[in-house]
This record gives sequence, structure tokens and C-alpha cells, in this order.
Amino acid sequence: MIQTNQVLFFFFFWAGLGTHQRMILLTFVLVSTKQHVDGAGKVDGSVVVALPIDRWSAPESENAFEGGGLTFWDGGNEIHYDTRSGDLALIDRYVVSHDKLSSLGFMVDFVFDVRCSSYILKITGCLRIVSLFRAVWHQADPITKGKRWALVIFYRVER
Amino acid sequence: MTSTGTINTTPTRIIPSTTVLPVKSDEYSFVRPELQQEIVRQVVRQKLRKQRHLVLPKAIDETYLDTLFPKLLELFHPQTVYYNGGIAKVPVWKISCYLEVMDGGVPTTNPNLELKAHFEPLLDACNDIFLFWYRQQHACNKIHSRPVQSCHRLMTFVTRYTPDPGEEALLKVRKVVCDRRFVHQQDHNELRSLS
Repeated sequence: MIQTNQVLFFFFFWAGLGTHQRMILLTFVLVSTKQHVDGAGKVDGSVVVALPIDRWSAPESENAFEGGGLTFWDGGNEIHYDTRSGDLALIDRYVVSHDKLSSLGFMVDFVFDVRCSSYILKITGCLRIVSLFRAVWHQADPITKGKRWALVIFYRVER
Repeated sequence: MTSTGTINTTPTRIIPSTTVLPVKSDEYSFVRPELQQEIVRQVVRQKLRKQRHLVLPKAIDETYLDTLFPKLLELFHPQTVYYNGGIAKVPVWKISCYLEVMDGGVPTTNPNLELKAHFEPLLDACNDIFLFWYRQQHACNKIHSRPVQSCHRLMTFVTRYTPDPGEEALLKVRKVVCDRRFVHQQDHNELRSLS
């Protein structure tokens, strides 16, 4: 359920009280609320080609669509494209792996104690940034009339 | 060709490395001639905007796509595939026809090889466009120790959207994780992997 494009925060609190130990786990998961990303971790990028309106099975006026297009949530902006036949969208899906992040030092652990009277609260935390590059969320926008055709390709790159 | 159910994948085809977009060859006469320059220019702009997508208007000649369409209508048969529900909790997707399917992935169905053959020149052109763009996109990126050599298609499909409910868009609504017990279990697993 937790996707690689999410940012996870784990906070563990060990409360020392006499001989009794209590561990409190707080978790914060930042997730997007809409859209989708392509594939399930295997896809490095994708292509969407807008295909023509069907003028062969019925008159164009009957099959011409209203609405549609593509919307991206990228770089902190929501961008809509009213795509038409021949338009080609390229989407970068590359996400840095956890191993790569660890080697780059994007794992942050911290431990500190809070002293209050005769009690010690030991706070241990771990901040894990799962993806260095955010995923590009996008959606094919709904149509309200007609039919809309598109060719979609998912790619994997070799290095 | 309509089929559902069993996994039947096609071997992925490795696309050779290209340094330039071969748009001037007769084979790709349907690709806009100045596309290479536009990709280079637009990638720089997108990077400055910290964006990782690019939409190229009229990249493929509309009249060429028109020539593909009558046979597409003849060969297109929506295939029903079953997801695990996904983040949209929509387990059945039935408005796409699959030309190639992901090895061992979901959704799985039998690829429509006739339709794939019909689209082959366009797919080849898309390969080259994608590879050229992807190299530009990841050029000068210190994260990558090795340059991109090639790419291959994992999955290819044609989708026909209609206004009917469930067929009008590829909307996938993601729900906030709210089951604390599940999150805790996930975190324990994550913590084990960290330690």
C-alpha cells in the first residue's frame, strides 16, 4: 500500500519509567490524493500518443469528444494539455531506489533524550525520503461526449 | 482478438542506442522534422521549471495516424483485465486493447499481435523519440553513474475512452492510508529492512 513516491516519517518514542518500558510509534505518511503514476516500480518512463477522432465508423460530429486531454501535477504545478491527434506526451517515471538513497546519505537517524525531573524520555527517530525524484502524477481527463483514442507505451531503460 | 486471463507475454525488444533522432529517414517521414531540436529546447525549459514531463504538439503527422485508423477499428477489441483493485479500487479495466504486455506484471492478457504489427512503424518511432528525450532528460545528472544505453517497451496498449461511467478517463483516486494497524505493520517491516 505504501508506494515508492511517498514520504514516510517514522517516530519512535521510548518512554523509560522505572522498570517499565513503553514504545510509542507515530507514523506520518504523506500521500497524493489524486491521479496516478504508471506501472508498479518497473516503468522508467512512458509515452502517450493522441490518436485521431474516429471518422470512419460514424460521422465525425458523432464521435468528436468533449473534455479529455491530459493533466500533469509536476514541479508544484497543475498543467492541463488539450491534446489532439498527433500530440505526444513523454513522462519521466524514474525514481531513485532506496539503496541508492542510502548510499547518498538520504537516511537520517536521530536519538536524543529529554530529561524532566527524574524521568528520561529517549526519543529515537528515522527520516526516510523514499524517492529523491518525485513521481510525475498525471491523468487522462474525462470526456463528456464522443470517443477519444490514445496509444500508451510503458518503457524500461537499460544503463 | 479478445481474450482474458492467462499470462502470455511477448519478448521485450531491445532498442539499439541512438545519438540522434532519425526523423529524416523515409521510415519516419510521419515524425515532425524539427522534433529533435524542439526536444532539446523544451527539455531545458522543463528542467528550469523542475518538471519531468514534456508534451510535443503534432509530433506525429495526423494524416499518417488517419491511415492507421480504419484497420485499428477493425482489429481493436477491448480486453478485460483484472487488477488487484489498485488505488482506484476499480478491479476491472475493459477499454484497452493490449499490443504488448508486461512480463509477469498486471494487468495480463493475450497481446493482440495483429494490431501490434499494424502499429510497428509508429512504435519504432516512439522508441527513438522516447530514448532521445530520456537521454536529454537525464543528461548531466550526477545520480546516474552510467549513461542510458537503450530502452525496451514493457507494455503497450490502445485505449478508447467514452463518456460511460468507468470508461471516461484514467482517473485513479488515491486514498490516504488510514488503517493505523496496517501502517504500523508496514512500518515494522520497513524498520526491519532499515536495520
